[in-house]
Amino acid sequence: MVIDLSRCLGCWTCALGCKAENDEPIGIWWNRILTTGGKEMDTPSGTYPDVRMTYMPINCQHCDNAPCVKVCPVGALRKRDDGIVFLDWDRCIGCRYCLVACPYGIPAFNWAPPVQVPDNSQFKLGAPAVPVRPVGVAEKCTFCFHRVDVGNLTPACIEVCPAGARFFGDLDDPNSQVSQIIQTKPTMRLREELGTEPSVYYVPPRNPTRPQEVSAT
Amino acid sequence: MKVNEGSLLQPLLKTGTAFYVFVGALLVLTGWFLYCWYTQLSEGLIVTGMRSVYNAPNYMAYGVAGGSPWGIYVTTFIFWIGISHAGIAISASVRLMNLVKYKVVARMAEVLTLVALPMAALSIVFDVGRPDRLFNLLQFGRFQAPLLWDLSAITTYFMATIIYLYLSLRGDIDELARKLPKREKFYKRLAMNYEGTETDKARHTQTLWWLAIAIIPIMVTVHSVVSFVFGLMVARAEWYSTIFAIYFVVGAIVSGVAAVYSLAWIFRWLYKWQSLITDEVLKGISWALRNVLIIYLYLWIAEVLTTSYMGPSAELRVSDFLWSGPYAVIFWPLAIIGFGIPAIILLMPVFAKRLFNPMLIFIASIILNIAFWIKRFTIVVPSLLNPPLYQTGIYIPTITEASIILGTFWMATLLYVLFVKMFPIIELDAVRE
Repeated sequence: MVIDLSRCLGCWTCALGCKAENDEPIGIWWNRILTTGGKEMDTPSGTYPDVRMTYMPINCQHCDNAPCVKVCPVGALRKRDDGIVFLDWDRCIGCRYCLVACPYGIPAFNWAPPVQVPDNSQFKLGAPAVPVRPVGVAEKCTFCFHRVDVGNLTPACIEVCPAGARFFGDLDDPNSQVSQIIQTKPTMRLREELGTEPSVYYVPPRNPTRPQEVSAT
Repeated sequence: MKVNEGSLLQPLLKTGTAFYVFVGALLVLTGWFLYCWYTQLSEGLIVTGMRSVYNAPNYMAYGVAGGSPWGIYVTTFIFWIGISHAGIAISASVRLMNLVKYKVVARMAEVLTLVALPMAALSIVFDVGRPDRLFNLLQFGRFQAPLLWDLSAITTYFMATIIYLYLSLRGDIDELARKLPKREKFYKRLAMNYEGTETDKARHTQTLWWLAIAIIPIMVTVHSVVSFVFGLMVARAEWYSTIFAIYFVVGAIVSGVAAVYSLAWIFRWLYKWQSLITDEVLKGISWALRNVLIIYLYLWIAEVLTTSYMGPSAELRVSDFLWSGPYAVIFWPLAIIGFGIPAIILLMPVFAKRLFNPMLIFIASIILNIAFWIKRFTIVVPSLLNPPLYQTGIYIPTITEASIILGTFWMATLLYVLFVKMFPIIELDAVRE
C-alpha cells in the first residue's frame, strides 16, 4: 500500500469506510488519521504563524518481519503468502501481547462486548464475509483480504478515499501502480529503523500550506 | 540445638480462636475477590482500567483514549514469580552448600514457592481476555513466543517444586502418622508406604540433592524468560535492553529473600521459636538480603543512567514521565522510602554490630516487598503509556481490578496457613541436627 500524504485531506473517510466494511464496534478503529500537532483532530504543528497541517493515516503496516506474529503465543496472528498479516479471532486468547509488541499501536482489543452503531439487528453494516468479533479478543486491519481474494477488488479504504491518496497493489510486481510510485517518488516507511519491514509506504507531503501565504494571495 | 520437638508440632496441635477469625476474614475477602472476578468474566476487561490507543468503548469520538494494555495483573504476575524465586532457591542452596544452620527456614521457603507460583499463573488467567480459550496454548502453542517460554518454565518449576517439597516432607509425614493418631489415616496415605529405613533415607537425600542441582538453573530460567517478555520488545522504550534478564533475576532474589525473612520472623514471633530460628539465622538471611539489594540498586542505577543520560527521544520520554511527569509521585517515594530506607536499615549493622535489630529488618523486608511490587509497576506501565507515534495515555486501576489482585494475596495466605496447620513448617530433622 502507498499513501500519498501530499494528497491526504484528513477527512477520515478511509477510517469510516473501513469501519463500515469491517463492522468495527464503537471504540475500535482499524484505521486512524493522526495529525502531527497534537491529540485533537486537525491540530497543526508548529507555532503561529509558522504552522503546518499534515496528516498521517495509520493502519496495520503488514510488516514483512511482523513483531505481532512473532510474539503471538497461539499463532492467532499469521502472515499469508502474499504478505497480509491477519488475526484469527477464533483462536485469539486475548493476552494483548500484540498490542504491546506492535511499534505502531495497531491492534485494538474488545474490552467490552462489541456494540455496533447502528445496531446490527436493525441495520447490518459490514461485509458478510467479515464475522463479528467476540469480547476479549484483539482485532486489526486485514487489508480487506475478503475483498482482495475476490480478484479485482481493493481494500475499502482505497475505494472510498476522495482524494485518491491511497494506492494498493502487489509490491513484488515492478509494473504495479504501487511499485511505480515507489520508483518515481521519494517514499518513507514508519519506524523503519526497527527492522520490521512495513508494507505501507508514505509519500511525504509537499511544502505544506502556510497561513500567511494563503492570506497573501 | 536443644529444642522440644513438641513445640515444632505446636501449630498442628493447638488451634485458637484467633486462627478461626483470621481464616474467616481471609475467606470473606476471597469471596469478595470471587465476586469481582465474576464481574470481570461477565462484563469483559472493560471493568479494569486498562485501555490502548484509539481503543476505548466509552469514546465515540476519534480522540485518543490512550492507556496501558497491560496493568496490575501483569505487575502482580512478575511480583509472584519474584516471590516464588527465592523460596526453593534458598532451600536448594541450603542443601547443596550444606548450610545446616539455615535448614530451619528451608521448608518455609519451599512452601512460599509452592503457593506463589499458582498465584502467578492465576494473575495471567485474570489478564487474558478469553480465559476459556487458554487450552489453545497447548493446542496451538508456538515455542517462538515468549509467553510459551513462560508457560513451560513455570510449569517445570512448579512440578520440580512439588516433587522436591514432597520428597523432603515424606519422612516427616510418616513420623506424623505415628505422632498424631487422630489423623493417622490421612498421613499414612500421604506418605505412600514410606518405610524410613536407612537406605530409604539415603535415597531420598540423594534424589533431593540432584533435584536441587536441577532447580537452580530452572529458577534462573523462570525469571529470565519473564524478563524476555519485556526485554525483547523493540517497539517499547525502556524495555529493549540486555540488562533485563539479570535485572529481573536479581530483583526476584531480593524480593524472595525479603519474603522469606518476613516469614521466618513472623513464625518466630508467633510461636516463640527464638531458640530455633536464632538471631544468628536471621542475621545470616539479612546479610544475604543486603548484598543482593546492593547488586540490585547498582543495576538499577546503570539502567536509569542508560535511559536518561543521552537516550533516544523515546527513552527520554518515558524516563521524564517517571522522573518529573505524572508518575513522579510514585517514583520518588519508591526510590527514597521503598529502597533507600530498607537499604539504610540493612546497612546499619555493618558499621555497628549492636544496631542489628530483627524487628527493624522485618519492617525493612516488608517495605522491600511492597516496593518491589511498585517497582514492577513502574517497569510495565510507563513504557506502555508512552507509545511512540501516539500521545501519552493514562492508567488508573479500578477497584474491581485491585480486588482481584488482592484476592491472590488472600488466597496465598490461606493456602500457606492451611499448610502450616497440616504439616510441620520446620523440618523435624533440622531440629535433631
